[in-house]
Amino acid sequence: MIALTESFRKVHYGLRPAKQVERRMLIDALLLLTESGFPIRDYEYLGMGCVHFIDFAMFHKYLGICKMTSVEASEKLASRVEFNTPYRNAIHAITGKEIGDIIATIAEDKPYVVWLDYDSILCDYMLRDMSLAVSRLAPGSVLLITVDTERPKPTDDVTRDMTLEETRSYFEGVARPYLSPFHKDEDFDYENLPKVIIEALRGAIMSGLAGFRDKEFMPLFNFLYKDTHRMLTVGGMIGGSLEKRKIKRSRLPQTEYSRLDLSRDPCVISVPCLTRKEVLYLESHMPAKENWRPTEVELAEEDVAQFAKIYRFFPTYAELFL
Amino acid sequence: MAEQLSAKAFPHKSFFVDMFTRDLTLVECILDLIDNSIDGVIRTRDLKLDQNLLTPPNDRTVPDLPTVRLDVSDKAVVISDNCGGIPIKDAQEEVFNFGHSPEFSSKKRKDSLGVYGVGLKRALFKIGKAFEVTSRTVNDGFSIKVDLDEWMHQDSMQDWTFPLVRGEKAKSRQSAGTTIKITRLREDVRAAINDGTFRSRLFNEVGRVYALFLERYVCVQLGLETIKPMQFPLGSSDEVTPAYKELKYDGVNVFLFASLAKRDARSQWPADQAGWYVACNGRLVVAHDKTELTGWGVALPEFHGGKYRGFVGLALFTSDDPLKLPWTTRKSGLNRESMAFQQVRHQMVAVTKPILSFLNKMYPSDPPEEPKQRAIADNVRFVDVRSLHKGVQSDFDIRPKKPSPRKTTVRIVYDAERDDIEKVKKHLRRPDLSPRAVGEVTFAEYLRGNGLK
Repeated sequence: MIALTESFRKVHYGLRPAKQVERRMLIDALLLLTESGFPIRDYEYLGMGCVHFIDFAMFHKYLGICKMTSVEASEKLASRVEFNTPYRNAIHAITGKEIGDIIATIAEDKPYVVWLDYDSILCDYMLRDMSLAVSRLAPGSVLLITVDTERPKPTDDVTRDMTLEETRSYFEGVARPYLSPFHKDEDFDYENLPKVIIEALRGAIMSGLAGFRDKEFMPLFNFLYKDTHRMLTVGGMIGGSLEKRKIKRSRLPQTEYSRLDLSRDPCVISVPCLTRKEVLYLESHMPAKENWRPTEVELAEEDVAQFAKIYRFFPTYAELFL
Repeated sequence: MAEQLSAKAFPHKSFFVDMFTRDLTLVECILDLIDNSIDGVIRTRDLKLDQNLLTPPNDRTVPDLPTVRLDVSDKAVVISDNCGGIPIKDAQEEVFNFGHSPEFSSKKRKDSLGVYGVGLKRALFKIGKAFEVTSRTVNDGFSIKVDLDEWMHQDSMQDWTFPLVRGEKAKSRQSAGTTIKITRLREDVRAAINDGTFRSRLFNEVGRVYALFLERYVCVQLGLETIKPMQFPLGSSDEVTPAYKELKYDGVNVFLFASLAKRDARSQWPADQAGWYVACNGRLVVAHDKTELTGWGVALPEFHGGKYRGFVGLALFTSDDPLKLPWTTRKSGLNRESMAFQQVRHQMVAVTKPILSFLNKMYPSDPPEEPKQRAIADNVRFVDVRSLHKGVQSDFDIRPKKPSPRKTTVRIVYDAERDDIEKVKKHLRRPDLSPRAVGEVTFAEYLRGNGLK
């Protein structure tokens, strides 16, 4: 296994606006699924809360999930994880174990929300975890995976990105059984990497479904966002024809951010850099009417359009003197 | 209107005698013959494989086991048993057919090792050009004697029978059984038998394939030697709980066992015993598999000879309808497209994963000197899979008795010039010191000289 990039040491998790928008969109989606008959409040959440537990806190507060397990592989963080665990009667924090080991023992008859929230580049063990999760999760469960989609760096020279050939060799190494043998080098350039990763994830998902009758992975999310690194989150529901019908009847397919087909372009979360005053002004005109343009301040058209897409999920940061 | 004709789709005897037998090894043929004997035991003792195979070992009651005796020479292969015999009606109607009739499959073939109705004939044809089968049950008896050259000479659709003679019935249940004698052995079979390794291969293979039957329900002898069952190298200890799962898929019962293996006398895990073992109705069809068949390299990491040789797992499939089991016609592999196997493979991967994580920690890339995992592994002892079958399922778990004391030392490794080592030894007037001791002395001197200790 390659060393984790330990992104939590680099950026405070609470200050990653695009990631926060993604979390809020996921909560919105889970609320819509609740509305259409999936009792998400009674689900168990299995995730990787690290020492910040932001997703855990939000899922508990906004969705009411009360049975949650956070898995942290590093034994070195045991003390900090223990110290920082919030809502201790709801969250069970495990350190020194791989999340795959926990997935291997989860109950197959209870619905889960599982978020394999990795902060590094796609590795073979992630595909194995994904495949295992798909095979074990009960119908109605929601499965998400997040990976870094930057170009990998060679282990012997981390100051540079891999060349196109090296990148291809890397991804073919970690995901060979799942990638088409007909790829060209250009398919592994920076712009196309998310597609290659989705192809590998799809393969792992199909492998996890082998041998099951009436069990599918129904895609719901395909987010691409960047705070420091470009990240990809793919998610969906495990289920059969019943779950498919419920999703179809829900309001989730009408949302701007959902992706029920992974071959569609991803939902790109880009957080425009606006002042607090500009945000307040824009918010006063939301939801925006067609062709509305700000009149009191000159803002880039794409920033306004992007704000209109994500304003409900837009995080606000301020310094507090406590 | 188009003229309606027909195309012949007749079988030829030469296909069954010369072609059908090509992919089979001699050992596999002999195992096929033993399967028929064990089916006699199952039939006459009314064994229920899903219950009986995993009866805990302390329930053993094994006096006067039915015995299968193998006598193998380059003149004849003889297999004789007192396993109950073949009823004459079955011999007349079914046993010597190529494949079973649907009626036989649905009514009679229950809890058996015979599945496809090909093993016995294929073995007879593969081994020699002449055979005799004599069988006696407590109700009737018969014998069949065939010269294959003569039989093949009459290759018409009307002549697909063997001459059968009614014989005496057995005087007691203990004497009821079957004897098969194959003579005029084929040249390649004679050569294989004369290969010096043949007997030991057969001995080991029988011990492995019928590990769950031997010493419990049947005894197999090679000449005068009784074959011992292989012990599955599954281990447990006070600290190590093996994974044990019971599953059901479409009329197939599955019992999964996985754990660390017991280490050998040198505290090592022999690489050749590691991997997955798969048995169908108690007959082992895959041994120590480390390939993609059982998930390695795709759903699991590649089997790493050094790192994962401590893993061992057994998947036992049972069904009263043997056609639902994932074995191949040779019974030396798995039908990977079987729905039951495809689903069970996910479960096999799930029980394997935590064990590999334990082994990964045992062999970290930057090893501490004495990983606590090593001490746990050293204490693992053999556990009989049948003693784990108590209805209580478990996940693989490690519960160390007491936390090992935190290590306060770290190993320092560096290179030094030989001349400098010699200079230090001379200076200390200790020519006997090893380079390691020189390193320790100089380090201690630095600490003392600088007032650090």
